[in-house]
Amino acid sequence: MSTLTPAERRALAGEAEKANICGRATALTAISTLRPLGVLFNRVLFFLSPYLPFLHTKLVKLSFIHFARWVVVDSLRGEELRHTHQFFESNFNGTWSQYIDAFSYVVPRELGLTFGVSYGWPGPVPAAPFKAFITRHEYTASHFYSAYPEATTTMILSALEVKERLDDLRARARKMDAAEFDAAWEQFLTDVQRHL
Amino acid sequence: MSDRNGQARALNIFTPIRPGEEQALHTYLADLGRGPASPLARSTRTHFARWVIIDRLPTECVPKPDRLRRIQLLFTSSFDGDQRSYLEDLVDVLAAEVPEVWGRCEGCPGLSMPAALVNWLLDHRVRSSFFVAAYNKSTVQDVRNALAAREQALAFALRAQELDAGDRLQAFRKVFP
Repeated sequence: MSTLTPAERRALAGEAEKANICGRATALTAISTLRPLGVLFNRVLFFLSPYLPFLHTKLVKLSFIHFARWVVVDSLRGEELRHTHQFFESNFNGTWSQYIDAFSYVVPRELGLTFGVSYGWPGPVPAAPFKAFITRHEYTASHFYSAYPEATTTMILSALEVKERLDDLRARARKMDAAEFDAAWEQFLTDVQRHL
Repeated sequence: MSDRNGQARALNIFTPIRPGEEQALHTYLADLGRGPASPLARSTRTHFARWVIIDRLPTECVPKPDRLRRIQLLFTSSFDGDQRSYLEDLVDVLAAEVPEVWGRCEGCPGLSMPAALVNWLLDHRVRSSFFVAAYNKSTVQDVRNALAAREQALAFALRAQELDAGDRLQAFRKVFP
């Protein structure tokens, strides 16, 4: 990279950003190397994750993550790894910078738990060193696909809510007269207005 | 280990790229159609997926950092159903792309032996440790249906304002039979 001109660097960064985007969805792919004691810590943490709802709840409540995963990689076929690595992937909507900021300030404890045992980890706050850490450990997707590129996580959760209530109204409407339907329709609109 | 969250599944496959094929593979993948034009759109069970070329492992602050013997192709997917049947479907719908993608990796059995190809992919899988899914009860089709229903409901709500009570019920039954 040191042989690239600033213009070439900007061009490469733009290309990387474009490759990691599909409509409103953005891909983040990062690998960090775990400290020896961190391997055990993360294995225990992830093993216990079903019993630690705060790990899931806050991440889902961020409401812009579609899917995310942490993967402890201690072997790859054909490779002799001295260290154990942690692969992290996220599919989210919004910009990379907004995403890292939200991670940094909204879920610092969860971040510290999962990344804190990696070599070079600067801590979750302030966000700038954390962004630099992610940048140094990030990979650009050669191809990124989303089945619904124009939908944000919030749009999907809203749509699922609307669909459920609409299906219910549809079933009930078969037996309603006009006045009953009017009341039910008003109630439906009240219930789903924040999702439309 | 958790590749599962509700009905959603995660898949992570690292396969070693044959030396000298890395750039051609990247160029091929980067030139694939995007969004609905992506070959992955042929898979009705894929929510999100990506191919990433892993050309290095971290070195910063790492004592005696690992160096890859072979550059790796990482394929990840968030999808519906079980891993084997998903991969069976995937290699079928990606018949045109498999030779250009995994065919550039060491030991890939090729499409002439689909069962062997699926086994080879599964052999190179690394299980997730922690998988987060925002809508873990919904399949790709559920999500698409819901997005369409939301649009329909919105359109009907606007139209219903112009109708009287009797017409509104009839119109609703027609739009949402």
